[in-house]
Amino acid sequence: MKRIAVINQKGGVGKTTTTVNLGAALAQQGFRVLLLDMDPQANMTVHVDKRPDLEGNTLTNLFTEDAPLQSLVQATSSPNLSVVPSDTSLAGVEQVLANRIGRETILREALAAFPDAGSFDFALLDCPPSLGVLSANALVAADFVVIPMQAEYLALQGMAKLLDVVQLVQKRLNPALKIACVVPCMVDARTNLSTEVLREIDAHFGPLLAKTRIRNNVKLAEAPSFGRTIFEHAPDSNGARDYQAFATEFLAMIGVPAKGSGGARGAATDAEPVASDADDAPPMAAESGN
Amino acid sequence: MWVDGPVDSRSIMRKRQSDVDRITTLLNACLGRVDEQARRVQQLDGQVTDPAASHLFDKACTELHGLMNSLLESAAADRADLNRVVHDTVRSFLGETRTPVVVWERLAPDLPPIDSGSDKLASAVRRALVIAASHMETGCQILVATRADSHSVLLDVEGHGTGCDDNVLERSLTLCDFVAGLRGQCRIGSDEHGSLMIELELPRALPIEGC
Repeated sequence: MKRIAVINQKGGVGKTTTTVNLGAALAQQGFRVLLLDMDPQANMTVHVDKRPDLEGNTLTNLFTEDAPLQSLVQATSSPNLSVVPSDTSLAGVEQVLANRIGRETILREALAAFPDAGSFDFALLDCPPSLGVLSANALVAADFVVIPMQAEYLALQGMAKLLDVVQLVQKRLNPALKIACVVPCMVDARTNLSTEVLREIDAHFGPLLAKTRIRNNVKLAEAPSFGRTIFEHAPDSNGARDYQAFATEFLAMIGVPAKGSGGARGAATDAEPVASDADDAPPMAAESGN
Repeated sequence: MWVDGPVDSRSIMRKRQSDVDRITTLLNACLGRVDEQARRVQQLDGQVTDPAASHLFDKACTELHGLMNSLLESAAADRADLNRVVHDTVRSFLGETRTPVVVWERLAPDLPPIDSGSDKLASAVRRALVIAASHMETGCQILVATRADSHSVLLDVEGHGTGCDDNVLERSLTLCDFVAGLRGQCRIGSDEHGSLMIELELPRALPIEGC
């Protein structure tokens, strides 16, 4: 299972949108994807149609009660896409863990002990817009970092600090951590500003800058309020096309061979209606998560 | 107790408008071909036995036939087999859910197709299963049944778990919205035994006759 931290300490740059829709694009290609909502705002949880106020087990249980990861995983409305939800109580984790030794490695240890890790191809970690304990946990647990960046004035502001933190984690806690790519989000190619900012980002990051641009697209903005990925909400939109293209590019960047698109829909084709009487219908039992 | 989901009339109108646009484009192409050939016949004026003219006619007829088939395929594109979708979605869901539940299927034979794409329909079915499983304990059972009436095709998802409470109703809002986008309706309730009942009423696809 490849672990990907989607991080930028700036808010509103497209972290959650990128985490959900990159995950959904990979899931559509047939990869099994686990999303982890590391943000107390729980926007990603809502984006995949979960209710932070109603979920009994969230990531807070992992950090504060050592709950096993497998007890937190939930299926979503998209095939191959599961989620560990979050809720606002996650905000208290920073304080609870303030004096705990090894607080930055809790998630890594949980993922190492996760018995179902083999059944997922990717874990995508949606980080909060800060560089605190939760983001540190994500960076320590991750194999790769994806940095969404909004193509607007001051996009690079604060980037030096993020890169310092990444380097520090590489040096002290996770030498294997790599920056996979910087992905420009909310790009409006018609404006000179976007073009100039992209040139600046390109000069700064060079080959790490993804070629795919996530264009400004109202469907991407609408999808979370409906609890849908872009592929459920507007599969023919530019947003869906952009994230599908980004997923393909991302796989190439981290050296994972792509699968054929639509793999997620590849369910059994030899289906026959089962018996018309429920008493005769063979039941299908789900595998126990524990 | 039954709670009806909202019907999103704007999304229905948008869907219909896109259908109308698509059909209008194809019909215009057909009419253009017919008009073109009518003008040729006028110009030939008594020379219709000319082999070249006859060849042109045959070619135009073939093109027209192709356009009509495209029109029919376009109309058939959004037709889904609910039984197939339910069958596949249940298996996919059971492979991913962490709640150890048991699902029974009772699928009516000869179900008419649904006026919807399979992907969207699968998403609706999966959402209903996720909601049913969200309030269940180990070993609880879900019955998934399909049936048809004179106007609609119906999917019943019965969760024999903790029944229908306010949490279920809250969770089901996006499902109802999603089903309204398919021009269907969603009803959530519970029976006398306290089982959760989710009923999706989905529009039948119009019958299509070959060209």
